[in-house]
Amino acid sequence: MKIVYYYDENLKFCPVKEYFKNYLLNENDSDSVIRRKQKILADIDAKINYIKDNGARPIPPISKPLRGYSFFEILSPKDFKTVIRILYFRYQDKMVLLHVFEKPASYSTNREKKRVNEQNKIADSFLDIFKLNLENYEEY
Amino acid sequence: MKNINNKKKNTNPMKEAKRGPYFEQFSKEAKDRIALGVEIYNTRISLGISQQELARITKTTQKMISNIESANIDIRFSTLNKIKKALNFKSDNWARIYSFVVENKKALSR
Repeated sequence: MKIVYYYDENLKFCPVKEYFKNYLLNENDSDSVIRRKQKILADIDAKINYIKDNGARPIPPISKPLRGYSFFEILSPKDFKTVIRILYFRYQDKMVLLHVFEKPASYSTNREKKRVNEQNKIADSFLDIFKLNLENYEEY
Repeated sequence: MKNINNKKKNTNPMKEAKRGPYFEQFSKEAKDRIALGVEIYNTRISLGISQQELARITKTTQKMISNIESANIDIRFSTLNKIKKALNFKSDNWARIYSFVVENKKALSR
């Protein structure tokens, strides 16, 4: 099983890879910022690898299917109020990291729900595009 | 500036992050949290206990149990003690979490 990033030809980048770049270390980062960035990526990486090692299937409690979609989610905390939702699916011997976005840890307003649904639909469109060109990926 | 942007554009973020000073430590902690969360989840399911029920027994919240099982938070020692008691954790459970072989179960259960 190999982990790959979905590459979007229209955007000209991999959405998940691009998001992870937000947590690259900068020269001016304080120690606390470095620790925070490193922890976020280490947590995500551990979960992604756990899922990969278990066949990239939805394995509760670390990964779950999303109702109405044919991809799965991994949630990882960003801070107390925000979680990072990583959407992936399995294609043959690949675990394809499709899309990622931040959402409130708990939300109740229709506006927040709508925004989350919009992001899920974007992931769904990425999945459709990938099916048309199965070479649209980059190494994790 | 252009060079820096190009460098960032071509960077593999995970490979880069792994070279950072704290990544290995946080990675190890995350793997331990996942192993613990999965073990609590599997044991709870095998006993037919809901998250709400476990939360009630351990005097915490369903959200807290969910976060522990999903490896999203560091569990407090006192909470871990309540959960292991509620789920009747044995040496086999700890062996699965910390990936060691139980050679003398009687000695460990004393």
